[in-house]
Amino acid sequence: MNSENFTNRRKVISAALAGGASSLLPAWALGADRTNLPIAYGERELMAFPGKKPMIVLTSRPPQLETPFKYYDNHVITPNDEFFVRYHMAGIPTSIDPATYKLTVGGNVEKPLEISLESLKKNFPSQRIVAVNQCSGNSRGLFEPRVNGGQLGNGAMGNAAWVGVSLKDILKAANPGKGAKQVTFNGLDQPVLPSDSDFVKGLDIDHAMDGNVMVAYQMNGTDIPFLNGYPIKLIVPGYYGTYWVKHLSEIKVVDDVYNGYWMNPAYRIPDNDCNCVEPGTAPSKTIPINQFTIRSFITNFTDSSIVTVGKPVQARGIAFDAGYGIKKVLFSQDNGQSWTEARLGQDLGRFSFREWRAEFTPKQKGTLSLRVRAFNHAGQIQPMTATWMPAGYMRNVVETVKVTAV
Amino acid sequence: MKKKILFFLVMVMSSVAQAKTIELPADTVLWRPSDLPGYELTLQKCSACHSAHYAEYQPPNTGLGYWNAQVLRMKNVFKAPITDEEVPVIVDYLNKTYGANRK
Repeated sequence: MNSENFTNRRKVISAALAGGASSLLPAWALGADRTNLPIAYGERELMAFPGKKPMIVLTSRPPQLETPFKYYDNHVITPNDEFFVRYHMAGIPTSIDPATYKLTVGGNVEKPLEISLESLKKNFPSQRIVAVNQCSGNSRGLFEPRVNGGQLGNGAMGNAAWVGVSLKDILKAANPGKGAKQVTFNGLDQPVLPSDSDFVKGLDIDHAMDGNVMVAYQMNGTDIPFLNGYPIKLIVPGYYGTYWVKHLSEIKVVDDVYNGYWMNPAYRIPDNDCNCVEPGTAPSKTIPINQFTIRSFITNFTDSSIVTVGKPVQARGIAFDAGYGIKKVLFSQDNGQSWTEARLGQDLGRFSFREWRAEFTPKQKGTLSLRVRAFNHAGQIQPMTATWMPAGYMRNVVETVKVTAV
Repeated sequence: MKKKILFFLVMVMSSVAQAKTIELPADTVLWRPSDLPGYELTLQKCSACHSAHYAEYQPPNTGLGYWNAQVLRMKNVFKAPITDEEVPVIVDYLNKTYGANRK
């Protein structure tokens, strides 16, 4: 069989769906729909995985699910069933008993701990942080020239209210010994075949103790969805999702910089001011990926939207950064030639999405390039042209939505 | 009333003792069929750990170097049971079927 037959096979499935041959197909396939990311080879399936609405399937095994971009419009908190999913290896848990779940804290500590879920909730003070989680490779598919890896649009990000225990309080209870340099985090997911590639991440001890890093047991007022790390997940506000270890089961205090596969060579960025290199080249020196770049998005228009010349209309969307706080958002209807300042919505905390709204009146017929640009309190500004790195991380160029004015 | 209380107790106990379980869907995108010898090998060696999406969506500028690096990564880092002789066979299938040569 060649690829033509492959296409035919897909047509057969579509035909079966249209013809109502439902008994031949598993239940999840009945809801299967399709969408297109605006890139070459951008056709994607939409499927409802456990606990999720239909999401863009980047990979089905292990599950990697992207949030359809329209879901972001008009709500600043991303509902649990719309939140993106990213696993690294197919050895993921499919059944977890909260009654027997344990989080161990060990390594260089005076008092190793084994904490049950009940104890975590009862014996430690709780805290709540609204924070964005974003995949390092969010928007990788939009890199030009294209780079390899998970070909994501802009939907590998979400904003949620996390409730849990400050990692500082857990570590204090275990009392790290002298010489402690980093803390490592492991979850229940594991390699399918035995190897040294278990998904383990490391943070510097000072970062781990900063009070913001936390072990969450609640997301938006309810249990964390299974595919987002039930029952507990590491929350690292302002840092890329690679550190937000799911099904967190093991915390270790170590005396060296942890150099496992997922810290080195994986998830590295160029060690220079722009964290970028000339397209097509490789960085000479790298560091682990860390804080988010500043970003903003228009959520209520797409490239197929139509607006009317002379008729005022509102643009709206979201902005976020690594936690310095969004200072202002500028909006343009003429591809960045002139800008107006948007109104910022309610401040849900410095790690949260920040809503923005701007009214504009389309000036002339034809294509209008709507652009939005965020500024933060640390002086960071979204670049007008995209930077590049081979891993396809940290994209934050000023986005453009091309609407048609009639 | 007693019945109601009993019902309530059963609900509480079962909710406390119950494990949360999910069922994941089968792969939806399959490896692109081919007469190349690497196709059967890919079905045997790659499918054990992941679905074909990983190759399916790689961009049109993807060439031999990427496929070779990935197959070696699977072999060396994730211990995929691929022999040295099988590496170029799988790479040849991937390179001629996906990326730049995807139909």
